[in-house]
Amino acid sequence: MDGKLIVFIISLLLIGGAITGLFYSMDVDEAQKGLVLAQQQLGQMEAAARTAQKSLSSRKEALARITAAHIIQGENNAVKEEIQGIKDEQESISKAFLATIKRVREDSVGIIIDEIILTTGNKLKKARIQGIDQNITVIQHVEGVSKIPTDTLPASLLDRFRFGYQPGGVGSMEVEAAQPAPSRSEPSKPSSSKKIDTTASDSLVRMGAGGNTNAPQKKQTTTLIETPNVAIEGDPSLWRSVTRSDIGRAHIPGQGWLKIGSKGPIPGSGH
Amino acid sequence: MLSKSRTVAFTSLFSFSLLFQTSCGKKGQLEYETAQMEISLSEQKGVVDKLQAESAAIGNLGYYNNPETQHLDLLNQKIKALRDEGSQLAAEKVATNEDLEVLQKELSAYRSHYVK
Repeated sequence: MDGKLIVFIISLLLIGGAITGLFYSMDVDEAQKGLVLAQQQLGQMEAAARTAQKSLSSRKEALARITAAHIIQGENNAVKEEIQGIKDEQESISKAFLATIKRVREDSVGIIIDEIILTTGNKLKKARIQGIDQNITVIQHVEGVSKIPTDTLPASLLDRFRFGYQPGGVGSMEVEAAQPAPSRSEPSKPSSSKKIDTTASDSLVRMGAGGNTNAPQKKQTTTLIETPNVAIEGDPSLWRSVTRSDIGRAHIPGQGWLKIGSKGPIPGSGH
Repeated sequence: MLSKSRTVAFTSLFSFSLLFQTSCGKKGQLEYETAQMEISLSEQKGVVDKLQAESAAIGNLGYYNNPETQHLDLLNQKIKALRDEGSQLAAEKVATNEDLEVLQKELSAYRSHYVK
């Protein structure tokens, strides 16, 4: 009887143990699944953290470089402004230089020089400068009055008058550039020159730029084809080409000094 | 002395109890590991949040908001070009200053010679 009871009890225990083991193994599986899921989530989160770290690092680096670029750009702009300021100052000094040259030229008219030795070798004694411009200088001396090409003056006078000089390479040598441009219809006389008549002697002087102030005038071979009105009243379109002007005449490159008619410079009148 | 049947019964009970003890330890271990993982997960989430907040604090960088290597190279080239421009400007400034000094000296010399 005892043996049967024991076997019965053991059988009950086995059945109970098997059922308990079944449920318990299911719990273990669930726990295992939970662990795997947690591992996956942790892996994803770690990957996200790495990505965020890398992105943050790149953004920080980009921000640093953008900031550096802005700083350098600002510095460059400051230097540009400084350079512009220096250039402005340079321009103002250039204008002052031109004004000084203009004044010196004006003051030079009327001064008496004991002797002027031209580059042609001619000597002008007791020379008194009566008028100056870029092409012609009128000098009164003991032998009379001479119109000589300005470029034959001695170096000391050329340095004084500085025709063609551009201080600092800024602007034009023309002193008038610093002043309001004169009206085309009313040409103003150059301030550095006194009245220099437009006569044949001007042509003589210009054509004799080789040095002989008394050289004969060359025969003109240019054939002018002009309408009568243009030949008398002038061509208004030539005002665009005028680089310098004086009373009654205007200078056009390639044509020289032309007489001014009622409408404009008269083509061919300079010869 | 115990009888043979009792000996068998006790042995069986002892074996069952050993088996149950081992199985109970397995589940507890898994739960413990899962809990550790969740703690790590929480920490990592905090790190990610912190990084994202830091990234947001930088602000919108426009074209370079999500910078790749080529974007950084582009910025490097831009910085290099700006530095080169800076060098040129510095040289230009020096040259302009020298020109200004020369012009000032020339004007002074001209005035001292010819202006009374």
